Amino acid sequence: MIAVVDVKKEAGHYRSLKTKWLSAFVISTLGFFLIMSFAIAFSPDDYLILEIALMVFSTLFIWAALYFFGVIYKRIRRYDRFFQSALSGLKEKERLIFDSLLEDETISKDGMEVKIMKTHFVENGKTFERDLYVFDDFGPLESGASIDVETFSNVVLAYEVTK
Amino acid sequence: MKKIQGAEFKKSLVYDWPLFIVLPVVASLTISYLLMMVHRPGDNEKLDIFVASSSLKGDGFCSEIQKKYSANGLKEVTATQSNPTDPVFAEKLSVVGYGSSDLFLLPKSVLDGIDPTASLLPFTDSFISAYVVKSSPSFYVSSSVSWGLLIKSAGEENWLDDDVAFLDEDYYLCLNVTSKNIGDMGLYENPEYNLALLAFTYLQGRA
Repeated sequence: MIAVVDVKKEAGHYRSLKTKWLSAFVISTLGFFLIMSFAIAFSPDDYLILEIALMVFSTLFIWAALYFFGVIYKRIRRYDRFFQSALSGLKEKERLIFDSLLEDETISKDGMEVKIMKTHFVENGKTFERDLYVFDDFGPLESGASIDVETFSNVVLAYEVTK
Repeated sequence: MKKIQGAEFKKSLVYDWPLFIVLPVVASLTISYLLMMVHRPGDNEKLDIFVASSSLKGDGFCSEIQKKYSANGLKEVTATQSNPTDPVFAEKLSVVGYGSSDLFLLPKSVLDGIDPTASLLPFTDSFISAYVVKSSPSFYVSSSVSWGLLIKSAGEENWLDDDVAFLDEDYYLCLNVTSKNIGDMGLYENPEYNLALLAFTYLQGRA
């Protein structure tokens, strides 16, 4: 089997990324409160300009924090959750016929960026389409190639060309 | 990647847009409140003048005193007004006046009705020589002790008429013995805090 994604490595990478970003946020929040406390405690008697500056500063910080939790951290947390689950979860193995990889189209699967791999399989004389997700390009694979794939939550983790 | 991040940001805006407004507003109000609390004048940086009159037309005299002594650390001068004919006047004088005012502008009828020993500063000879600047001062005397300086006689005009609707009586300027702004004349040994004494001289100087 050729690994498309190294689950153990990625799990470690995203766990460490999650810790780093969270630590960065905690440190910057502490810095923010420290700066605000000093600015307020040692503010001059005529503090109007400082007051406006602190309001603008706190607004920017809050917006940045909301963006961080709404986009960046949320994304890292989803990757982390996926790879942690993949580490210990049950993986599915199946034999499919490769059709195509939609390389130009990136979609969001539970907040993760993936590409769609079109495959099909034949069962009882009937053809069933099966769409899988891949994180990165892999191959090259010719259309019609028979492949064994290992997936977790429909994401391809490894594959092997059988014919 | 940027396309998906942009899409996720738009999605988070759709759901969380109130937070993008409410949190900065709450933070701004908190900053404003904290700055206000930090710069709130201390007991030794503000004065309150209790005025027994039918009404206050303005607070120009407070602004004048504040401007005059801002270099001495005076940050705020306020006036508390109460009408002596009001049924709750005695309570207001007792609670607000004695409790937090530094100077009193009281008519003779009010002074006659109170016990000055409990709340007013007695004018000693040293006090009079140091802080009474009028050329021919007249005092409110009770039990052979002076408690107030005549600042406006009944029927006479006074510079405070623009701001204070005086009753048609003699008015006396008195000091609260519990004030923290009368140097070491009162209950506290803090000779450097004398803003009420400065205001006392200013009010008679303009008179």
